[in-house]
Amino acid sequence: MAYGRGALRGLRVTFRNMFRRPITVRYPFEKLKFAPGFRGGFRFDRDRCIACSQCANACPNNVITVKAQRGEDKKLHLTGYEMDLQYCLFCGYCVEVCPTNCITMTDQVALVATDRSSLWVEFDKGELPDPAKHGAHAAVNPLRAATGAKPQGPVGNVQPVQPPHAAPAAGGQAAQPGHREGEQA
Amino acid sequence: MSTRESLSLEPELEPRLKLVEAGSHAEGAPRTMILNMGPQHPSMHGVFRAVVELDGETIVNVRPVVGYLHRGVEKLAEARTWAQVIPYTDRLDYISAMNNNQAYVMAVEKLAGIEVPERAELIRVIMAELNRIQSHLMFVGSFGLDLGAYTPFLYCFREREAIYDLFEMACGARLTTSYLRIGGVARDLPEGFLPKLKELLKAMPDHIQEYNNVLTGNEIFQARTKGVGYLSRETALAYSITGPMLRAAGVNYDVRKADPYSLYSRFDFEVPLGQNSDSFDRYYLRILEMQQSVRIVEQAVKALEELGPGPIQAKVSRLLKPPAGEAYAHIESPKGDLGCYVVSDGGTKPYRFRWRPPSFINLQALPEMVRGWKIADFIAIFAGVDIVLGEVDR
Ligand code: SF4
Ligand code: SF4
Repeated sequence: MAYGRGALRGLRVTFRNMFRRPITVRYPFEKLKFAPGFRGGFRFDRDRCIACSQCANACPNNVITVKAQRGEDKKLHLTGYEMDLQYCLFCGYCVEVCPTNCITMTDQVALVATDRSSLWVEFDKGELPDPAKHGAHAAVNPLRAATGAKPQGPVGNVQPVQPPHAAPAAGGQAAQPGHREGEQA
Repeated sequence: MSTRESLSLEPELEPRLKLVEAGSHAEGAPRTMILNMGPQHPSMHGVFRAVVELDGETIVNVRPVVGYLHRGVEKLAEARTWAQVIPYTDRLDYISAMNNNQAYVMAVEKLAGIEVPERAELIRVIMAELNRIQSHLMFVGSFGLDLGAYTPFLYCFREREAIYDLFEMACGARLTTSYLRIGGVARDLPEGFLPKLKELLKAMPDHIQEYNNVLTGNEIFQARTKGVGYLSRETALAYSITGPMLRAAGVNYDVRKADPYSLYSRFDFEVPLGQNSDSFDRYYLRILEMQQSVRIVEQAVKALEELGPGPIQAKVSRLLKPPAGEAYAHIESPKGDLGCYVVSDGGTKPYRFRWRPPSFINLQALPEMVRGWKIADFIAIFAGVDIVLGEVDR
C-alpha cells in the first residue's frame, strides 16, 4: 500500500468539512439558548416562601440559611434568606424539595466572581438587579410543572452583589423569555 | 527538569540524583537523569505528576505521583445524607458523571432493597451509554491531540457537544449531571429528547467513519502507536487492570457481560477485544466500543418507546434510612470496573463510602508499559490509560 494514502484520506475529510456550515457561534456576541430546566442561577420569590427550611435541609453543602421568626399567629415568617453561592454545587436539590416552588433556577450562568464575599447573596435586601433585565425566563421546576404550580413572576434573581457593570445586550431581547443575557459578574 | 526540592519527596531517587547533579561519572555510577513531568504540563491529563528516570532518551523508570486533586470525597460523604452524596459522585470521574451516579445509586438501592421502575432503568442505560460514547470521544480527541493531531479533536468535540446538549435537556446540567436518584431518575425525558437522540444515533456511524479516516488510518499516527507500550495479559491481570486497557490485552472482561446489572442482559452487543495490547489497540478498542454503545442506545430507545410512559421513581422516603449492613455494586464505567461500597449503620448518613476508581488502578501499570520506551512515546502510552484525576485522587 502506498505510504501516505491514509493521510490523504484524512485530508479529504478536512476538505469536505471546510464547506460545512460552522457549528460554533461567536460567543459573547451570539448566544445559544439553554434547554428549559437548566440549572443555573437562582430566583427567589419571597412572598411565597413559607420558611419551612426544607431547601436548607436538602442542600448538601449548607449553602442556604433560612431565617424565620414565629409571629403572633404562631406561623413562621421569613426574616431573611441567604445563600453562600461559593459552596453551591448547582445540584438543584433545593428547587426539587421546595413545596411552594418559590426557589427556582434560571439560565443565568455568569456567576463568576473574583471575590468570594461577593458570592454571598441576601435575597431580600432589594439590592438585586431587576430580573427582567438579567436573563429572567420562566424558571422551571420540572418536578412541579405537572401540578401547575408555576412561579408567579420573578421577584429576585441571583446576582453577585458586585456592581453589575455590564449593560444588557441588544435591548429588544432583554425581556424575551429564555434568552440569555449579557450580564457579567 | 526539576529542582532538587521538588524531588526530595522521592527517597529512592535521591542518591542517584545527587550523583547526577555532582556530575559524577565515576565507574559504576548510574548515568540516569530525572525528569519531572507535571503536575502542570501541557500533555498531562489533569494535575498528574510523573517522575521519569531517563537514560539518554530511554525511560528507565517512572514514578506516578498522585493526590493533587484529593478532596476527601469518601470522608465528605460520611457527613451527608444518602441522597446528598449523589452530587459528589459527579465530581469524581467528571467526564462520566452519569456512570458515577449509577454506581452509587445501585449500591444504595442494593442496600435498601429498592426496586427501580423499568422506565427509569431504561433511561439509565441510555444515559450511561451516551456517557460512555462521550467519554470515549474525549479520549479519542485528546489522544490524537497528544500525538499532534489537532483536527480529530475538534470533530470529536462536535459530537460530544451534541451529547452534552442531550444531557442538558434531560437534567439541566452538562457536566455535573446529578441525574440519577436513589430509586430512579430525577426527571423524565423531556419532549424532543428522543427525536434529537435518534438523529445523533443515525449520524454517529458516519462520524465514527470520519475519525477512522482522519486518525485511525493515518500512517504517522499508526507508526507512533502500533506496538508501543506493550502490556502483557499476565501483567494486566496481576495489576487488576480493568476496562478497555484489559480488553486491549485480549481478556474478555466487561462487567456488563460478566456480572450483568441494570438491564444489560436484555441488550444485544459485543465486547471488542484487542490482540496486540499496544497503544493502538487501546485507542481502536474505544472506537469499536462507541459503535457497540450506539447499538445499545438504539435498542434501549426502542424498548423505551414500546414501554410507553410510566413511573420514573420508586417510592423512597426523602430521609432514607437503609438497614444496617453493607453493599457493593460495580458497573462498567468508560474507564473500567467502577465499584462503590457503602456501609450503613441504620442512620440517615453513610457510615462508610468507598470508591473503587478504575483509573487509579489502571495507572499503577504505567511503569510497566513505559519502561524501555523513548521519552517521546511516554505521552502516547500514558494517554492510552485514559485517566481522570478527579477519580484517581478522589
Ligand atoms: S443547588 Fe444544591 S448546593 Fe446549591 S443551594 Fe441548591 S441544594 Fe444547595
Ligand atoms: S423550601 Fe421553599 S418554602 Fe421552604 S424555606 Fe425553602 S424556599 Fe422557602
